Amino acid sequence: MKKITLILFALIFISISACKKDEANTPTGLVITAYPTTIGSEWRYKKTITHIVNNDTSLFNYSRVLTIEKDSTINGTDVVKYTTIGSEMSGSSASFKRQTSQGIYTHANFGVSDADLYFLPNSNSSTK
Amino acid sequence: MKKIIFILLISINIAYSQGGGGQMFVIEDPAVLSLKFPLQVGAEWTAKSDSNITIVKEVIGRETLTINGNDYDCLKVSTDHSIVGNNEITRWHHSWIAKEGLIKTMFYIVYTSNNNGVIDTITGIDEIILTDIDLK
Repeated sequence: MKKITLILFALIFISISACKKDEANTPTGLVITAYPTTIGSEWRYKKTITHIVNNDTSLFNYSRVLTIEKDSTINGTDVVKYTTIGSEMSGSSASFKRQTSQGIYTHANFGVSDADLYFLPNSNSSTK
Repeated sequence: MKKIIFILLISINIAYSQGGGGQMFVIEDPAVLSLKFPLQVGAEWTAKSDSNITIVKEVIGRETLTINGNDYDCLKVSTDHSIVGNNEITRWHHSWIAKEGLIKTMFYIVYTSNNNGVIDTITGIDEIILTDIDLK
């Protein structure tokens, strides 16, 4: 009986030690507290639209470029203009955003359907 | 019928790409909370809510995306759109956000129709993925 109790205690001790070791190896969580807002920054993207109608699949490929263009003001609030040019559109679209310690706020959009459906200012530029 | 629906879906998609109702300048009042800081796994917030649309966002995970040999440590943000009176269309949106900005987005839209017992399903997937970046 003593042996069994001893073995049980040993198993519990080993389990606790293993758990502590796992906790120590857990990577620190990623925390993002700012987003790039420097004028002149540029992101290039490939856009692929896939349509599946029952078993038929069609693919459409486009490209788009997102640029932080300039500072601006919307109703007295200083904002930064994110402009997007896409290959499937005739013009460009823009989103006017402000960064605070609480987050990124979108104050206005030009050429974007539902505000913020995409974080990107939606846009134009595509090549089939 | 399928062709008509297919063309309709493409039109919807291009309309989204081009800004929906034309090149309109829309002021958001109150402003839309696109990203809430600190952005971390588990964070959840309402980006926008009015009588037409409610947009709820949630950070549902952390993933590393490798693009052109560069690793981007990303938070995966899920966006739930619930639009009044739009029950036949299901859609959802995921964004991968890194400290370097938006790395990838995926937008799904699924339309299901029932024509006299024949169920048609149309799926549209928009994927936008980073190819190059130049941060100043």
